[in-house]
Amino acid sequence: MRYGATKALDDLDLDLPPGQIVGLLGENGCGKTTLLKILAGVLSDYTGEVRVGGYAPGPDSKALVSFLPDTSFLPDAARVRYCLELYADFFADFDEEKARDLIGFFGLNESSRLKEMSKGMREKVQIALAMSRNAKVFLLDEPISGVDPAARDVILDGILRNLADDSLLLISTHLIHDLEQVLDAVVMMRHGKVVLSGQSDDLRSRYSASLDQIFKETYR
Amino acid sequence: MITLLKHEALRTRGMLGIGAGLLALLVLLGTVLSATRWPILAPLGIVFGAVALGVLAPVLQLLLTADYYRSSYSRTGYFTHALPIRGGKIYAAKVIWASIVTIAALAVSLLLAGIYWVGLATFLGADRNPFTAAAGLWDSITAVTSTGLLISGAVFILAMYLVWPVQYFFAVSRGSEMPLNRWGVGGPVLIFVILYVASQLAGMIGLFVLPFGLAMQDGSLGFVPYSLLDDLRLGGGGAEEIMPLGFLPALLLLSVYCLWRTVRSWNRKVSLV
Amino acid sequence: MQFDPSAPIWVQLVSEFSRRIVVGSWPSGSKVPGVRELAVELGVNPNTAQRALAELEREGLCRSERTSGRFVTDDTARIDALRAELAREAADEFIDRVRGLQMRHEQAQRLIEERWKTNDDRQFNQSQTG
Repeated sequence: MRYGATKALDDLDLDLPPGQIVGLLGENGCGKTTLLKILAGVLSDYTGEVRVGGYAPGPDSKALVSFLPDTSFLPDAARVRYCLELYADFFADFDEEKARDLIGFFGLNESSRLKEMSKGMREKVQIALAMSRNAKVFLLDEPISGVDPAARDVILDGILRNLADDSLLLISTHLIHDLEQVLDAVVMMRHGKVVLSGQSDDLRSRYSASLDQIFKETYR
Repeated sequence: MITLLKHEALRTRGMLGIGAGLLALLVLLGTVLSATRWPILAPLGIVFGAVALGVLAPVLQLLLTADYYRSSYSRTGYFTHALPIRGGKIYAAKVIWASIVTIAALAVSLLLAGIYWVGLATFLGADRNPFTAAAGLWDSITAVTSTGLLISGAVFILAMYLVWPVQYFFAVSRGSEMPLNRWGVGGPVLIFVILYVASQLAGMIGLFVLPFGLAMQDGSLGFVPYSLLDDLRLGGGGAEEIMPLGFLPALLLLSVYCLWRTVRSWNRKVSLV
Repeated sequence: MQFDPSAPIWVQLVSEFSRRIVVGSWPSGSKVPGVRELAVELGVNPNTAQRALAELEREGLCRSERTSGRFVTDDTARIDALRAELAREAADEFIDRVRGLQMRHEQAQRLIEERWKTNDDRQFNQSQTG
């Protein structure tokens, strides 16, 4: 994967087993987003082999993947109710009931238009939709950076409560502190390469430090 | 496919409705103005009405192109391209929807033309009944044209409208691939300019390869030999009543290429930035 | 509960669960909450909670029954042993610290006698007023 002269990802070799919550850590521009886009199937200019649930990125893999990008990806003019309909129409694994509950829980109104909402509210809508799919793989790009602490707790709670035993959740962030206790494993990236990866508790005992401290040390 | 079309319609209907509504309003305004027979204002009404009538379908096509870019390569593209549906199929839905809108826009234009005629005829002092006028026009066409030619003429006009979205969409998709995707809408614009030049060239070549045209002969329309070179040599004055046709296959071939290449773009060259 | 993020979390969970068994908030023979329930309650990863419970099983503090779930052991002797072990750890910690303060054995013993009684009174008073 190249952007002009610089490679966004370089010689990356990763194997993420199901049933895990994996943190994808790194500074802005380290290739986290590029990796998630490739896995989600919205970026096809890469060389190498990619398999998601056994499929190369395409319609088959996309049916298994719930992708939450870092942008407002729903039509601005749409109402929340219409977004629910969109998901229900296109994703066979979408649990509309659950999404409705979450929307209500976040205190959002189904008849509001997205463009009338604040950025934080729109993010909550997207989180509610993305997390209400019974997907095999969740790809969440910086889902907790823009929301208030209360919503953050709800997101984490939702992840812990609802994630199926055989699902993989890959979550990119630069705010490790909030995820410290939730991550099974971490992948730390820099300049398109993996600089450190491993099971969280193994890393803690190896370095006698928190993931946050290890992260800061790694990027010093 | 039905679901895809349904959401194309739901997403674009507001925008299309506003565009078509405003232009229809302009046509009506032009009609009323021309019927007043006031100096200056009435001729102005005639011109504005005619322009609004003429651009209705093209404007809706451009609006759909803007939506095509937004829904496929801007922020909303992250949703569109994450759908568990083959890209070519999503693209097909967009082309079909654009064709439906174009045909509907042409039908509405025809209807508005009837209304517009009432104003124009008032201004000219002609028969105001649009149906009489249409019947008159129909008679004068059928007098010189065979049924086969009439049908191919209608198909030709429709095709000339329907190739536009195909070309626009190609420019947007091709211009959003690597490495042009970093320039936002710059990529599509660049590709469209290249495509335009290419279509002019292809048209010219077509005129050489297929030297035929349509012209009046012995009181009816028919195919006649046509040579672009002769036309140029005579300074364009000699054969102006011949309608050359050679560019048509070239244009269609180019559009078929655009269709094929855009499907390919959707299936394997998507690169959202 | 607050975790120390610089030490493995599953180890801290084992201590927390052991404490619950000893103080009887998870009574002997009772059903242990489900993995997911614990994960949500404590805000930790379910796999981590699972690993801690597996360790409890390995230490004989609870047992799995295939259909009905996981139960605290009804071997009260085992729980008493655990209590003794935890108390021993606490005692070691206390001794370490007062030694660090240059206190001698007899002084420390007297201190425990004295404080034990004061704490009893305080707890008694609290239960009276509360």
